[in-house]
Amino acid sequence: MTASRAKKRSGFSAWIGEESTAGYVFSLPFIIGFLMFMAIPMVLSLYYSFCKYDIQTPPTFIGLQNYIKIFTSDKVFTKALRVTCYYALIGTPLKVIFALMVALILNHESRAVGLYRAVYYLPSIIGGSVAVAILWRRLFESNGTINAIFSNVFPSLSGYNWFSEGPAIWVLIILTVWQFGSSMLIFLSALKQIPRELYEASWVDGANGFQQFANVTIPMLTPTIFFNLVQQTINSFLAFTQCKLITNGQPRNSTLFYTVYQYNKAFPAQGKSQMGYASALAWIMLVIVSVVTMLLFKSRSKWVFDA
Amino acid sequence: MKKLLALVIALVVVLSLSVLPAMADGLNVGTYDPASAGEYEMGFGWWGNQVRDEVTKAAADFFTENYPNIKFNLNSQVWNNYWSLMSTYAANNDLPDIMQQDYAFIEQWAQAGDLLDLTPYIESGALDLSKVPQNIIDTGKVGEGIYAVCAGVNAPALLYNKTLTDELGIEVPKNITWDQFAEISRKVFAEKGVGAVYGEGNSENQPTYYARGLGYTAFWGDEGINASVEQMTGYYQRIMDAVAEGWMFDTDKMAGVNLTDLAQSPLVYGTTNDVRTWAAFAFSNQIAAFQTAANADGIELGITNWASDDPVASNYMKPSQFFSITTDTKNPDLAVAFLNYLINDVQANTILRAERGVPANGDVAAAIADEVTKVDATYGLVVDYLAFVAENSSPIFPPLPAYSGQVNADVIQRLTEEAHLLNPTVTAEECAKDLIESTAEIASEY
Amino acid sequence: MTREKQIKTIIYHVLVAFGGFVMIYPLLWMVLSSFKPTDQVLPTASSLIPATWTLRNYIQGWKGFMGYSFGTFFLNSFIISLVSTFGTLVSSSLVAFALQRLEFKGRKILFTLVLSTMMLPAQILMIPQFMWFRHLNWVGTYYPMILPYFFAIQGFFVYLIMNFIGGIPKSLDEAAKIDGCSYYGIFFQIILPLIVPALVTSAIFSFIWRWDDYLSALLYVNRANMRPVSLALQLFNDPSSGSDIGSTLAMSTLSIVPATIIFLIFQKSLVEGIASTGIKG
Repeated sequence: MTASRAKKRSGFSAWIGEESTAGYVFSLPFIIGFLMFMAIPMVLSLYYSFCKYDIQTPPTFIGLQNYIKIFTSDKVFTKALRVTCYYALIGTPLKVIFALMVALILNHESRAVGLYRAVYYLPSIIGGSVAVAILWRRLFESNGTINAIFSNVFPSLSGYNWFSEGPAIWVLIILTVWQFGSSMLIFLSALKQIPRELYEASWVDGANGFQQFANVTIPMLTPTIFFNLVQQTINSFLAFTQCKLITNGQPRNSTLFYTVYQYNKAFPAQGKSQMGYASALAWIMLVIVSVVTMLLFKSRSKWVFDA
Repeated sequence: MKKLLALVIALVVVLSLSVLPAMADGLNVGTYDPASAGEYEMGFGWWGNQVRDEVTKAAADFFTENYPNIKFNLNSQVWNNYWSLMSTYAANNDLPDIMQQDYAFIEQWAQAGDLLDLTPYIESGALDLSKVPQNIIDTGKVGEGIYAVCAGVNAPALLYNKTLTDELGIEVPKNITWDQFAEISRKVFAEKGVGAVYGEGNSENQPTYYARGLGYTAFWGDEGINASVEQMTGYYQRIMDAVAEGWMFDTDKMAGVNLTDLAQSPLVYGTTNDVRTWAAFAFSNQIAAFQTAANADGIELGITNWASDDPVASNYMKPSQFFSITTDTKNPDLAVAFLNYLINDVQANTILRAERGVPANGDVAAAIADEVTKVDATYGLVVDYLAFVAENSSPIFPPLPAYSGQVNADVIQRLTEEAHLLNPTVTAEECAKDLIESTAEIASEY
Repeated sequence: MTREKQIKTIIYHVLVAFGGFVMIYPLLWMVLSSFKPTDQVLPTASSLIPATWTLRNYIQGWKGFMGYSFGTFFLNSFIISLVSTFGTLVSSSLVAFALQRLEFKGRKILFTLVLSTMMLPAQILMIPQFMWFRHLNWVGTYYPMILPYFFAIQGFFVYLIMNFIGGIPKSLDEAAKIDGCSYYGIFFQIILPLIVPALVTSAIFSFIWRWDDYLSALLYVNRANMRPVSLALQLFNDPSSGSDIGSTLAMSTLSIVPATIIFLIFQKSLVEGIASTGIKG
């Protein structure tokens, strides 16, 4: 029936009805969007990365000079990269573990759980606003709330300077861990998807609560853990606002995020823009993020349990 | 009901009239008649804050009230965003007709061809600068042309906690020297544990002031810093000594306080004495905002010059901000008329209430004094201080070279932090050498 | 036994509630401080409850800037967020359908590209995109903040909806095809009504993200009356000349109200929506 109908049609209407044509028609928005808003700008920025460019005068081609300078003599680049890796490699696992723990605790049948879920998620809505910046400094200042609480337990800590060179990065790590809400939501829904039968089966096999957790819950969650880990790792490498608003890289660049360094080069508060240099920095970061993501995907088969 | 409405309207009219200054015969707009411009939308950009936004908007509105054919597209940003945005507009040939400028950047902007030379308008009388002192007019000069007009005057000012120094029986002298400053700091620190911070650390302000005290008018030369390694060693040694003595905040301690947000500056905010300072290296027009923040703790602020071995050589009067007309304007005559209004019109300046610094037009500054003091109690203090500085200062340095911004960001900040370390890993001489060599390298790239 | 269980329940709730308090303490601080007189916010920062309550910050803050009240900024934010969210939903579901259900040459490559957009940092694109939009004469308009979203540029949503479509039995498509339905008909008559839960989830995320977006507003909006809330808030705070912290906090509080309400209303369907889209990685 369909075949005979298709035969009757001809020319345009037949062509448009084909599966492959429909595929392109439906994908068209993305194809256009990708070209217009991703590919063209990316190619532009790749070109700029080989130029000296201050936005106000046309770019001049200088070959690999930006890259050479970055890799051979830019100490701030090395520092910012180190800081960002530290932040990403410590902050991300902590955040994911925290999100998982809270999700497990809230995966409970109770009327109050809806409220709890909201309360634990809310900090993630406000993101990096001015208010958070003010607040975070206040919490961690030498006579702030954190010290007030901890000095009761450890008197030697009273007046501790959280914004000094070692601990300052932790102030930012704690902030990112605090905003674990979206990972938590994803864990919560994954927990709901674990079939009950699996628990019942292991119960019959005589497994206790902990064994159930280790042998059923965790393996079943590994795909979700992987998803969150990838998402959050990328996000940490690209974190911006927290650093910009709270520490602005101080002291001695010990909290300088890579993206902030890049932004400062592109849009400096004083002096000319170094857009070419910033574009080179951006491309280096793009390569790093791609490699890290690839490594994560490579590790996937080793520990992720696919049902 | 109708009667009530009429009454309300009458009341509103009376109230609004009493807020606005009495109408004179039109506005002071120079020789061009804005009414002849036809329908026009004038772009006006500045960096600012809530108060500045309000008063500037009011001044623009007042202009529109008199010339209903002129509307405004007002664009206010915070400092950091302002410059990056304006440079992108510049690249797009889309700058506002009139933009706020900073002394440091005029030269770069004029050389890039973004600003209009105002000389012909001054000569024709369209822009009347006869009441503005010549040395102030000259600050807007780049080469032979005048590219910017001073919107208000200020000067570097050491703002200090007068309540505290009074309590300790300390008299903070005028023309304070570095040794006097250090002596007071030691005493304040010994008795109260309150320290000091030597400027914001990421600009040339402090080293410039220091170098001027040694006889250099300008800190920056064409190829680098004018002062010698030996001389700049003295600058870093001074910091290291003070940190070692304990009264100057070290790097970690500086990171622990907020030096960029004025309301949280350690001069006016801090839960305990060890995170407070007794003085701040600021500018005279900032005292109003500092005082507002200080009121919460019942602190009264005093004002004197930044400490220097030779304060008269170091100190200077500075145009706090400028107005420039951009080359992207479609009606330069109209923009000049509006600029003339901002500089010379008493009503406009009453509305603007010297928020951008004391008006450069002396007649206007005097005419608005009473009104402004009503809304800003520190205005008198500032005017007195500026009168003192006028007698006890040297000509200001020329506009900054284009490379200076990058040196501030990449070199000066880094070295300030090194020199302020509690246990420094480099010597003062190494800092000075680094400063001079790195600056020369950056300068050579421009 | 039941007693022991009761005690356990109580301990559970006490701990979770305490943890929750720690979590939202900062938010409480912001909300409650916004009712303090503005010059008391910093000096009395360590006490949560205002000694004197005032609405002055809200009245003062609502006035906004230069004659444009926060009402204008909120309206702008709603327009931008709603329209771009609408665009995201339409375009992402079309593309998701193609990538999940249709066979055509280059499908795999397109899918990889979609995934790669999830990993492309906004910071990296920010600068070149600005150059490009300037070239298109879009600077100073809402186009850069709205139009791209009509072209499925956020891989996250395409991926999310794809997963959801993957959960719909293919036999439904086949049956419709046998009845003579075209691929376009299948999408609009069969798939679209079934993916509503995924669309709701996407809409919530998209709305909140667009609402919070401050960077693109900073780059592309140059008129005071076109500012969205996120940008207007930033302008409350000029560090170099003092700022009205009370009004900043009051307007910050208001700015998170829409997202909070949306989350509270939809939180249950949000969790279920994510669950049914089957995001596993």
